[in-house]
Amino acid sequence: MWKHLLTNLKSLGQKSNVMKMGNPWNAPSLRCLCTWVSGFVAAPASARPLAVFRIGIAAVLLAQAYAYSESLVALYGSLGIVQSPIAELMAPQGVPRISWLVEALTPWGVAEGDCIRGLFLLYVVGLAGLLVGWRTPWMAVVAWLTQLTLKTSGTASAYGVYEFANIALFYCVWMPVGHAFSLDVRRGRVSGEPSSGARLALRVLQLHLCVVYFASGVEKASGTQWWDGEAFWRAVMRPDAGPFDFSWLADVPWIAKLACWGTLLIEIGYAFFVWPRWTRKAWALASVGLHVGIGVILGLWSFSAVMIVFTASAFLISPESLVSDTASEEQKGDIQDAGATNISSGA
Amino acid sequence: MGRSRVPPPILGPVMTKRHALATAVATCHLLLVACSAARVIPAPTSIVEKSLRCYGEYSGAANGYGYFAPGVASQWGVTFSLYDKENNKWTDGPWSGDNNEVKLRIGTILSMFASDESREHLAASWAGMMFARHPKAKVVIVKSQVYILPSMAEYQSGERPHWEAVHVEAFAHEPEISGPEE
Repeated sequence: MWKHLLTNLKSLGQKSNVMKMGNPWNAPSLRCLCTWVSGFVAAPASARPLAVFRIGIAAVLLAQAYAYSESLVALYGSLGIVQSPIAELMAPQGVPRISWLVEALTPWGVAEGDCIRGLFLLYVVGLAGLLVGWRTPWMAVVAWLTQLTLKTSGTASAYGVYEFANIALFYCVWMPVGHAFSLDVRRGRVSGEPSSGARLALRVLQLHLCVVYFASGVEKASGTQWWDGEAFWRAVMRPDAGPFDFSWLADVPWIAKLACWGTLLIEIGYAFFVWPRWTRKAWALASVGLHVGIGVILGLWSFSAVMIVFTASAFLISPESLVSDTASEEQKGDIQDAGATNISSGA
Repeated sequence: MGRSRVPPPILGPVMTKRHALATAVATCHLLLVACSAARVIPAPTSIVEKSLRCYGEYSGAANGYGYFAPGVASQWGVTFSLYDKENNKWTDGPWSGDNNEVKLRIGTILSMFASDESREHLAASWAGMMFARHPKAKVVIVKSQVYILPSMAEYQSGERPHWEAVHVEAFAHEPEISGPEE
């Protein structure tokens, strides 16, 4: 990747204007770097990938909310599976939780169950608003805060997908996710034009994903189970895993080993191979495939769907709507790599 | 070389002050994400640390991402034996939820039985829930168990997975009633 970036910098340096010497900011290498950085984070980009992110996340979380809607009191009630004294101990400090709401509303005669159901309804309304892109920033705030409250109150039962839902909804608050495929665009509340903000947002999403996969891969690689194939065996043989019987794996342990090594390669390699344009699509699709496998085999469908939405919107949806149709494929590649899209037909 | 043959120059876009500030904030956010992922405490002083942790909780930047790492943990389960005043016994569980999502969430709670510190508290909490579900019950015995899965080589040589009881605890609804012996 570094070689690729250096080549990219060099080509940008060759293409940049004549530099004035004397001022350190005008030194060729620094200027090249600044040009590359500004192109990387500020070149106007279409908000389409972010809109796909918004719609995908809202759709998955709505389906997930429907799945646990019948168990709200058991999961979040003070007399639920994890009762309030224990839940309070587990919850992080300073983060909103249902008990705060209950304390505030009990004097008004509102029961705990109604508080939980009301908060959940608000969460669903926020997600629905996000899905269609109606008053998107406000709906994102509602969905984010209600999800955070529900997650904090149910800390003991919140697994990975709830962390990613929190991350995604937080990003929906700050990112221009409603600037494409939304009612806000239709009604003229936002322009829908490519923007620097969309580029920066996309970069944050992309870099965050690289951290996620790299950290996950490295932590896995630090244990022996991921090298001898036992991790795959142990994951698929859990009684709570999907409906398939994988006991035959014991006779062909090399398959389990291969599955583990493949996972390590995809996760650790993600941070490096998802950037060069000749490996980007393959790597993104490989990680999508990994999550499809996790969803089908382990039954972690909501986690898998959220991760697929993350990768698809960050790396598989093109943000390059400003590229002139007359630009060559090579130029488009350069533009996508450097993040500089400021080409017009007259340039 | 004619002008028309030269590819159009790629111009770095001009960053406004506002965008530069947004970029700086985003960089700090991503640094926190990376530090949290690497399990590095980002700041030495407690006030800063608390503020960062709070921000991390709100934004999701404080997460680690070691899913199924460094290895896949064993699955935990729990069963309940209930007794009424007349010492009639019946059982409940293993309770796993109505659908896959709820099953996963309960599985997450059950995985906390692996911790010696939280096991007793969780057992008490589940016993409380059982008393609510079964108003006639006067005693609940909570048995937490772990699924022992042999390695692939052990499985090949004939060993089979099984549940193994790890912790048994009795809870009485009324203190004067003594728990029956199992």
